[in-house]
This record gives sequence, C-alpha cells and structure tokens, in this order.
Amino acid sequence: MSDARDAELDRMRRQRPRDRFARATALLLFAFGAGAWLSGALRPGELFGSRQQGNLRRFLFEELPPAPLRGDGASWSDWFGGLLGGRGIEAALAGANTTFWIAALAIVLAATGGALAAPFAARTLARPDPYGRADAEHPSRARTLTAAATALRFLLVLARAMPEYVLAYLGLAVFGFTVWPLVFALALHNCGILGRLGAETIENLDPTPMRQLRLAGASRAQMLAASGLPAATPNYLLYVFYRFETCVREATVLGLLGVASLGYWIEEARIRAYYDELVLLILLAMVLVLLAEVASTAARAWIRRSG
Amino acid sequence: MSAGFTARPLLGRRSATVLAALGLGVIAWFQLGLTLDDLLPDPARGATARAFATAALHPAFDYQGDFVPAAAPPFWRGVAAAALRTVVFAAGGMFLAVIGGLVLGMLASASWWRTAGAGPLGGRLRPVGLVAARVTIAGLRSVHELLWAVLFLAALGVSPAAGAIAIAIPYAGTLAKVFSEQVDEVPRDASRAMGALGAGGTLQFTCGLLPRAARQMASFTFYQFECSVRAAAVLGFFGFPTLGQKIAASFANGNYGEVWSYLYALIALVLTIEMWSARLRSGRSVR
Amino acid sequence: MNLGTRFELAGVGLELGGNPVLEGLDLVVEPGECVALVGPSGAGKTSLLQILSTGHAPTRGRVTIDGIDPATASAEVLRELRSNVGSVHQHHALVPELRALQNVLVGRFGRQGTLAGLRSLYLPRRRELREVHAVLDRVGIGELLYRPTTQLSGGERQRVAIARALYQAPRALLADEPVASVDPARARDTIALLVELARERGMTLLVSLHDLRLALDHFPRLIGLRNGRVEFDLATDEVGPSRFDDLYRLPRTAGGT
Repeated sequence: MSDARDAELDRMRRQRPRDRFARATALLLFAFGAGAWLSGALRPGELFGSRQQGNLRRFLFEELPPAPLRGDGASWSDWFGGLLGGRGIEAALAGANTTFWIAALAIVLAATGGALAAPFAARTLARPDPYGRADAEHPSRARTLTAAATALRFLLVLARAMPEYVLAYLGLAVFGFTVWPLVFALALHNCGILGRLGAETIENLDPTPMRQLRLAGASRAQMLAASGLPAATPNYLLYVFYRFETCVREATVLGLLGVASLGYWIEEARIRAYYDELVLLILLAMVLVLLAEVASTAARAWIRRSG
Repeated sequence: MSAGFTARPLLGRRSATVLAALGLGVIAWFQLGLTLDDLLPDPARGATARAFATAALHPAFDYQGDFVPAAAPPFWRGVAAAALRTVVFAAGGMFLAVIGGLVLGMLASASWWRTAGAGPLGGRLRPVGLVAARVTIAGLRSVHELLWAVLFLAALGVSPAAGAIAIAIPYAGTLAKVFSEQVDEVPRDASRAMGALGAGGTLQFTCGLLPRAARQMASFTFYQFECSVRAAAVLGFFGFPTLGQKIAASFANGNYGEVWSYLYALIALVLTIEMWSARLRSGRSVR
Repeated sequence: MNLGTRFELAGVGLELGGNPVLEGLDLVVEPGECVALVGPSGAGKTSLLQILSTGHAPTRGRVTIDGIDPATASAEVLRELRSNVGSVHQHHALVPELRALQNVLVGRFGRQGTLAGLRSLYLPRRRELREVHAVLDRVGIGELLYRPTTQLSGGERQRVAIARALYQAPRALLADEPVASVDPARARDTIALLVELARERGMTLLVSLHDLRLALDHFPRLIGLRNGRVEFDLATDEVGPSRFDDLYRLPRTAGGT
C-alpha cells in the first residue's frame, strides 16, 4: 500500500514541470566561473608570487606615498605644484570638467537617438494591426514598418555589442585626436541601450488608452503623440539618468586613450610611474562619479515624484 | 484629480527635463570647444580610414602579417582562443562579483536586517551596518574596472588573476546595489506569514523573500555577465590576453582584416549571450 | 490528535498609529471551539486575529494563549507558541515562485532550525513527501504536489495555504476572511472544509467572515464586532436577525472601507 503510494510520488516527481534550460545555464555559468579560478587559467597563485609581493611592497611603501612623506626633504607645496607635469591640480580639475561635458553631450545624443529609434523598434507597434486596428489603407506600409523594426532592433544590438572603449579606440584612429570620437563612442553604445529600453517601455505600456484611441480612428502617429509617448517619457527619462551615471564613469576611462579628460592624466601618471599622482587622480575620478550618481539619483527621484 | 482645480504649470516636469537636457548639450558643445570640421575624418588619416572601413567587408581568415612564426596556430584557432580567454576572464570576474554582490547586497538591504539580521546583536548593529554596506557599495562602484586594472598593473604588474579581480570589484558593487533594491521591493506577505508560524529570521529571508526576487536577480546577473565580457575584451588593451589585445596588436600593424575578424568574434560573443538571455527570459517561472 | 488551544482576553485594547482599533475586549475561546468573527469592515476582526497569532501585542489588557502571555514570554517560548497557532490568510501569503510541495513544507519552519528548514525545502525526505502529499490529498489537490504555485488557480492556492496550516499541525487555526475573494460555492466548500478539519483534529478554530449566512450555517458560536468592541457573543441559535441589523447598521458619519 505504501509502495503504491511511493510509486505514485515518484511518478509525480519525474513528471514535475521544470525549466531545464535555466538550470543548465546556471550550472554552466557556475562551472565556467569556478573553473576559471580552479583550472589555473587565471593563475591566481601568481598573486602571491614573490615577484608580485615585491611589486606590491614597493608600490605600497615607496611609490604610493607622496614624496614629502617619503622623507627625502620635498615639501608639500613643491609636490602639489609639481602635479601633472607642473600644471598642478587645476589641469586635473579641467580634465574632470571635460569628462563631465563629454558624458553630458554623449547622453543627450544617445537619448535623442534612442527616443527616435524606440517607437520604430517597439514590437507592439511594428505590426499590421497595432493596438487592435489594422492600417487598412496602407497594408504595404505596415509591412515596411515591421521589416524596419526587425532591422532596427538588430542595429541597436550591434550598437551595444561594441564596448565604448573599442569604438573610441577605432574612432580616434580614424578621426584624429579630438573629443568627437569619445562622444560618439559613448553616444552610439548608449543609443543602443536606450533604444532597446525605450522600446521595452513602450511595449510594457498599459494598452487600454491606446486601444481606445485606435478604435476612435487615430492613426499610429496620433495615437503615439496623444498617449503612447507621454506615458512612456517618465520611465524613459529614468533610464536616461541611470545611463548618464555610467557615461561619466566611462568618459573618465576613455581618456586613457590619450584625449584630455581625466583619464588622460591618469594614463600619463601611469606611464611616468608617478603612482602617488595616479591614486590621487583615481580618487578625483571617484568623486566625480559619486557626484554624478548623486545628481542622477536626485533627478530620478524628482521624475518619480511627478509620476 | 486635482488637475481641474490647479492651474497647470507653464512647463511640465517632463518637458522641463527634456529642455534642460537639450540645454546641457548646447553648453557641452561650447565647453568642449567642438567644431563641426573635426567631424570630417582627419585628411592625414583618410587612407587609414578608407582601408579600415573597406576591410569590414573582408575580415581576415588567415594571418595578414608578413612575419608569421612557424609555430603559430591557425588563425581561426587564435581568434577562438582569444574569445575563450575573454569569456574566462569575464566568468572568473563574475564568479567573485556574484559572491561579493550577494553578501554585500544582503547587508545593504533593509529586509535582511528586518529578518535574518534581527535579534539583539543585529538590532544594535543595524544602523551602522546598513550605512556601512551602502557606502562600501558606492565606493566599489565609483571606480571603473579599467581604473582598478590600471591600479593593479601599477601595484602588481600584469597578472590574469588581477584582471579578473579588477572586473569583480565594481561589478560586485553594482550587483549588490541592484540585488538589495530587488529584494527590498518584493512583497512581504509570505515572509511575514512564515514569521507568524514561528520561522526564524534567516528562513524568512532565504525562503520568503529571496525566491521572490531570484528571477530578477538572475536576469540582471546575466546582463552583467554580458557587460563583463565586453569589459574583459577591453582589458586586452592593457596587456591582458583577451580579444582587446589582439585588436590593438593587429590595428597597430595595419592588419585591418584581422581587426575585423576579432571584432566580429566579440560581436558574436555578445549576440550569443543576448540570445541566450532572451531564451531564458521566455522560459517558465520554475526552479 | 492535538488538543486545541485556549485563548483568553482580559480588557484588551489596541491602538495602531494613535487610533483605537480594539477596546475592552473580554473573551474566552475554549480548546476545540469553532467560532466565527462577524462584523463590518474596520470592526477590528483582523486586528483581533493578529493579536491571537501574536502579530500585534495589545496596548492595554492581557492576552493569554494556553495560559502563556506572549508579551512576557521568552523568544524560545514565543516561537513555540507561534508554531502551535496556524493561520490562513486572505491572500494566501504563499511564495508563488516555489512549488505547492515547498509552500506546504514551510508549515514546519516554526519547529526547524535554519539548516533543517532549507534542507526540507530543497531536499525533502521521503517521509516528508508522504506527509505533504497526504495533507494535500486531504484538501483535495494531492495531484498538484510538484506544481509551481504560479500555475495554480486561486482556489487551488487557497487549498495549498490550508494544507500549509495543516502540515504545521497547530493546536489552533486562525483564518482572516479566507473566502472574501472567492465565489459563493467555493466559499461554502472552504468554510465547510475548515470546520471539518478543526473537528477532525480537535483544533480551536477562529474564522473572520463577511458572509452571515456562512457563519450561521457552519459555526456554533458567533462573536459580533463593531467599532472595536464586542457587540454580541452568542450561540448561533440565540442570534436573531435584529442582531445583524444592528451590527451592520451604517453609522451616521462615513465609515472606513
């Protein structure tokens, strides 16, 4: 009797619904992550090698402390004045300023591009009968829109597949050393991200108001202008400010490629092995990012409050 | 609601934000001293630009350089190996980041302190612990993975493990921040019911709250993994043996076909992960 | 077979956010009794049940559960007390991401440590599987043992919630508006099931209800609450229609929801 019951339990267990794909993915990623360390592919042992330990000791006790602390008689004012090859901390602040404006311009371009792309990439719109009514008068235009949406979504994926750093690296080689390649690299990558997030925002909108407009005879454009876009804007702006924060982080780093943002001075300090200066500049970059984060959080809270 | 009674402000918050953003763009233009002339490719680099652009249609299937060491593996295997190393760096970094993100995220979530962290000791530590965890997270996040890499290069020299750790640090911060927010936003009815039938705080947290956020947490982790693959590729520009190193070397040698082969490999990697994640998200909500 | 719990309230009052919710309650519920709490919304039914399940401590007066005052009990004793009082919530309070089986296993969490609880949830023993299956069978959904809770209907979820309370093997069962959001036929079935289970296992049962018909048909004792006070506390056959009219009489000033 209890055997029959157990057999029944076993049958139910075997037939239980489960997501094998998710489970396999989790296992695969875990195996890859753990394997990266355990297989020795990343050579974690090296971190504790005598050469690395020696490097670390030299870094911490000889290179990192600013000259006045090392006791070789240098004064703080000399050290401070000698920063950034004698240009002083003002140059670094100017670099931070440039970094901020690169990020600002890039996010404005990316947000504009993303906003233009989103309605054309949204799956709920790219169909012959968006929100319940077919475009009877323009069947061919609906087909074109659907095809364009597929192509656009692919382009957006491509845009975000490329790391900003690689885009900037290639851009600098082609356009020369101006700020434009950095702005474009950031704008392009973020346009890909914002375009997709914008499209998802439109797809997740409450369909009722747009259905009603459609039933009342509104065209696609009228429906979007009257309901879709105003409803999607707050959420989209939240994403924009969130990406702005990342843009500031990235803009700092793109300077490492040799254009006058904060990163440029970081790279200079690294090449010259002025590690006290390097750490000072990284701290400055940190402050810049934290400021951007505070600003972005405040802006997002402001938008949320207004609903 | 009250819209009928109060006069609408001249400018809604939405339009105000949009206008302010556009204004910011204009200011940026002047601050950066941009000119439209700079938008044209540098004439001195015109040939490079053309050669590079045309190579996009002709990615290399073999080494383009004149001096290929006899012992070098076939080109495609070099590409595959660099791509694999990129994924290994990313996975190694993410492995640590997820562990760090879970621990820090727990400490930074109000709901952990309310359930598992409750009790006489937790009650006293809570105000300090919560703030300390959040400050730590902000600190980790605010330094970009490449800057951590630069710092480790300065302190240790090139070491693959240091590269993976450079990725792990800021990613742990980001994961922790998002995890804590996700757990705090989950409905609490189930965990409260567990408390009412006498379950301990840790069980309330791990069985009443975590499973409810797990799906979103997994989905964000997967997205971060995609980002970490890009980050790992970029680490190559700083001497780590990932795709970026190959891209930089081939570009410096003018082998633009090779550059495109590596770029396409990177794009293929990211697209694969993207498709994988889409498939995951379409799956049933079963664990 | 469990022996039911005895609840005793003496002069109990409760304030939430400065507003009086309950005032001067003197009640005794004997072990194994089945009692319906009736009254309009906002009468304090939910708050009373929460006091009995130790979710709220009364602001005034004293509650004893089997002679123990939860306000002064040690953490250990309080936990034991809680594990002996099961609840069925209006919105079920299940974890939708877990399977029916796992949601039922949660019922024993009050008697398990962290590791034992996690082990039972993710690596249930054969004995536990049999027990959970038996309980789910008892409420009529044994076949759904491994079904993810998200894939269950509202009625099925409610049965899982009841099964969780049964698996807890409590000595008292408290149900707050268990049928507020289900259709009349199912409401009748659910209430009948709760009463039947309480009798079968000797549990004390307290159910708050909107529907007077259900209360009259299934419970021997009715407690009418209004504005946080006991309006009446009678055996069912002593309750006349005028009692209910008084209970649900609309106040002159607008009431809550």
